[in-house]
Amino acid sequence: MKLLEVKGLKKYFPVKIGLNKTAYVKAIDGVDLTINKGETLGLVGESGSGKSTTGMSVLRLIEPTEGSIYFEGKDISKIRNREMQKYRKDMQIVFQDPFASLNPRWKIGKTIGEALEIHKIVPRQQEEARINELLDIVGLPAESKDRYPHEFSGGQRQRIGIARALAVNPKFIVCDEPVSALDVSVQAQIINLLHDLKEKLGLSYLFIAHDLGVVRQICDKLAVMYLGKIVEVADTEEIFMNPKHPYTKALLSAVPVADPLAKREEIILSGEMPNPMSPPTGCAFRTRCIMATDKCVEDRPELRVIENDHQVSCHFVNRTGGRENVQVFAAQTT
Amino acid sequence: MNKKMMKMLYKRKTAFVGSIIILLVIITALFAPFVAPYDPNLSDLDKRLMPPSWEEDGSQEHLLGTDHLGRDLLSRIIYGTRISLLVGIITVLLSGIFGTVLGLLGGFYRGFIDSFLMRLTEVQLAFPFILLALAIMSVLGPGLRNVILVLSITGWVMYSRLVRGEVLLLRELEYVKAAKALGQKNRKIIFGHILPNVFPTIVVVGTLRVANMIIAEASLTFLGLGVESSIPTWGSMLADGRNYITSAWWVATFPGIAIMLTVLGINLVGDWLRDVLDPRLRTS
Amino acid sequence: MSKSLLRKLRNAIIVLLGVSIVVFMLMYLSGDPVALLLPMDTAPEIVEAMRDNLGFNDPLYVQYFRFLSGAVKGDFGLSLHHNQPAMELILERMPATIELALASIFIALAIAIPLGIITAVFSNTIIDYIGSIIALLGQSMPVFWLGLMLLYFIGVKFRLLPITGRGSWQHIILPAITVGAYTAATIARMLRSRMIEIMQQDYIKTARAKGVRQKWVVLKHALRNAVLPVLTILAMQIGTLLGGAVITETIFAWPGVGRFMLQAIQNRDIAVVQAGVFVLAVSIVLINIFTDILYTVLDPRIRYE
Repeated sequence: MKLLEVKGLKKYFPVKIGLNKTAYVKAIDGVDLTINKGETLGLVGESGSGKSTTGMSVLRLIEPTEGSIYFEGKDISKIRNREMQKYRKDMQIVFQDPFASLNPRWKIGKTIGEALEIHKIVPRQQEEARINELLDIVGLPAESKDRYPHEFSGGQRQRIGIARALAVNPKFIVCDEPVSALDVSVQAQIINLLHDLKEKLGLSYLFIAHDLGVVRQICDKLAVMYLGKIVEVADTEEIFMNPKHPYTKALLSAVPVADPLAKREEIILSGEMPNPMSPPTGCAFRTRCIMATDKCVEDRPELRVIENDHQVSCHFVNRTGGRENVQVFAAQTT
Repeated sequence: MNKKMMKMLYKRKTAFVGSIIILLVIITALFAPFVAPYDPNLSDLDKRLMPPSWEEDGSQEHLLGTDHLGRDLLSRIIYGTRISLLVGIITVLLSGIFGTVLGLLGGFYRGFIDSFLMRLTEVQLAFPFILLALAIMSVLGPGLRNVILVLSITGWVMYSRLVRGEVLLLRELEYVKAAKALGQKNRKIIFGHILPNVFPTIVVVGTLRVANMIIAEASLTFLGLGVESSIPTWGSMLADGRNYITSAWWVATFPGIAIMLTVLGINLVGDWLRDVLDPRLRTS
Repeated sequence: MSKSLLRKLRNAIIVLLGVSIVVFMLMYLSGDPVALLLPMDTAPEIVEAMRDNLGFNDPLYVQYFRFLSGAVKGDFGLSLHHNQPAMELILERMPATIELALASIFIALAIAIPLGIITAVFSNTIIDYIGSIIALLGQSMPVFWLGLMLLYFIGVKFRLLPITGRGSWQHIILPAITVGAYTAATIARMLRSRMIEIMQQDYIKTARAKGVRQKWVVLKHALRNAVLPVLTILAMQIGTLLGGAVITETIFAWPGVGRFMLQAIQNRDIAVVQAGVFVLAVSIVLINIFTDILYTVLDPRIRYE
């Protein structure tokens, strides 16, 4: 059952240059996504690919320039704020920066309590009990609610952020690089927490990250983003075992592998990501792609399904150009 | 490290001195009737323009001398603290509240409100304060209430600019976005999340502005368009003293020293507050 | 950069329009403008006739446009008191005010820069304490008090300098010090703290100072970085220096615009008040634009806004 469906999402940021001219940073340039109930979709890409913007746009924390966002079948992309209020209960977000995501002057209890109060989740008298519950769910002691953010570590603050998101009993949570700012050892704990919560509470996630190693543990499906467009979508294992898009392959080749004997071929991308204000014509990736031809300059490839649920946007997906069959990632041993 | 620590200590000492001064001023203002040796309006024409007690023609009865109407200078200065503090505090409160609210609204909502606010600010700033104040006072007429009104009207700009700048930064912070994601109403976001974090800045500026207001009131009264002459203020004493400066220098000198010390005290405490609460504001 | 320049000009015009509206409204705030022009006991019919005659019965926006078109040409009408065009009278006195403003900036810098540098270099020593206290006092002194003190102690008691009017270079010293003291103090303090900040950073970077030469380099570097904030302060003070010199001009009988305006306000000479305020406001707006541009030229960081 489709929980979230995004079609043709675009977000252009206007930038003034010159006397009367306005250029646009095309942060998102036509994105389609589908997340089913209980599913976790990972959204990966380099910095600047537009992943965070996508996450915020889906919740309308950033207003999309164009496109539709269907939540449980209803298009929420253009509804008025008052109506959007109702959906705020169902869709929440966990931010990347644990230091900036909590008001430094508010006690934790107040921060979580705010969520409860806005939507009147529980009656006044039961608020404190509910806060204790939420803290317990994320693995923090009840006394935390009387303390201030600066008394906690990064990982703990992230837990608090998660508790806040859970307070409204959402169905869907956008996790915007939730572990990127944490130490590696803490990352695993938070990922596990998110995973457990998903199972226990039947949540669905849009999990945004730039670290492929992280997404493998928690995401059912992956969408790879480049310069504001999705270039590949498939089940997580499928992506790791059978990547089709050259960009995906390059990303994967950079992920460290435990087995020192695994045969690997590292693909090094040349050049840098182009300026989102003037993306290349045709295929956005062509400036760094080894397989680029004239067709890539003229025709922008569409996301097409090539196998069951595996979509790619590239003109040469079925070609065996030599590099195609290399297994870039050892089979997961866990 | 050592230099930095010395600097902190230095500030503590000066702030300490500053707060003592302010405390003295406040106590003097509150207990003026008990502290002052004479009624400030009591005029004794026999004793006009007597020099301070340590001068040749002075007497112990009038420590700092008398003015052209034979009124005791010391008592008048003591009573003057009342007006100065009153004007200073009330105008800062009024203009501060007004300016802060405007700054919050403009900075948070942006768009038309913000542009309008900015233009309004610039229009007001294009007029030199003194002239604007004088012009308005000449229309309204002299009087304590009018002075407070005028100072409040001309003073709000300071706050709104500062607050607006802060709000522009704060509204991008993630906890504000989180509140929005939760569906929190704008009003509650502004007053619950943003205002408390802007508050330290406002406090620092407000404290320092009390000093400006005291001087402003004195200036207006000095030029004849301020508080009515029946109320003893430092400004009017200076205005009187001006006419007698060549023959009786003390009439103008001591009130001025009073102003200077009060302002000094406020500046010292304000500086310290600024260092403690908001290092970003430093211009000195 | 020309795009931002255009935007600044557009904003400035909006501001000036706002200023003109306020100045226009001044006319009405002080009571019936027609009644002010005529002797007290004029018959009401004559007052009415005058009102009509002078166009005060026209709708407000018509009057405003009339005012505005006059203002743009510099025509504010005749001064009630002096029977000359108001604008003329104002312009006659502008040079004096500008002179005072420039002199005070000069003196302010002459005091502030050495004071700031010395207190920064000798920070946390006796020299610093004394210097900083002087600066603090300078910031706390009310302008008119300083003026009176200077006038009395230097002008009268010791007869070192003249105290009224304009003439030789000696005449301008006392007024200039009075006006410039606050600015001097503010700049000195800011200079000190900025330089100390930068010098500390640099010391950390260059480990040990390699003798006098190294210190000299650090000093110059610190100084260069403190230039911009000095400009900020000067820009902020321009308003005070131009129109705000009212008090100083009054005390020292300096024949400038400020003193003239005060008299006009007291005389209810509306045309003069309007002309004066308008001229000053325009000057301030123009100076602000100029400083803005100067900023973008001097500070490369701001250019890429």
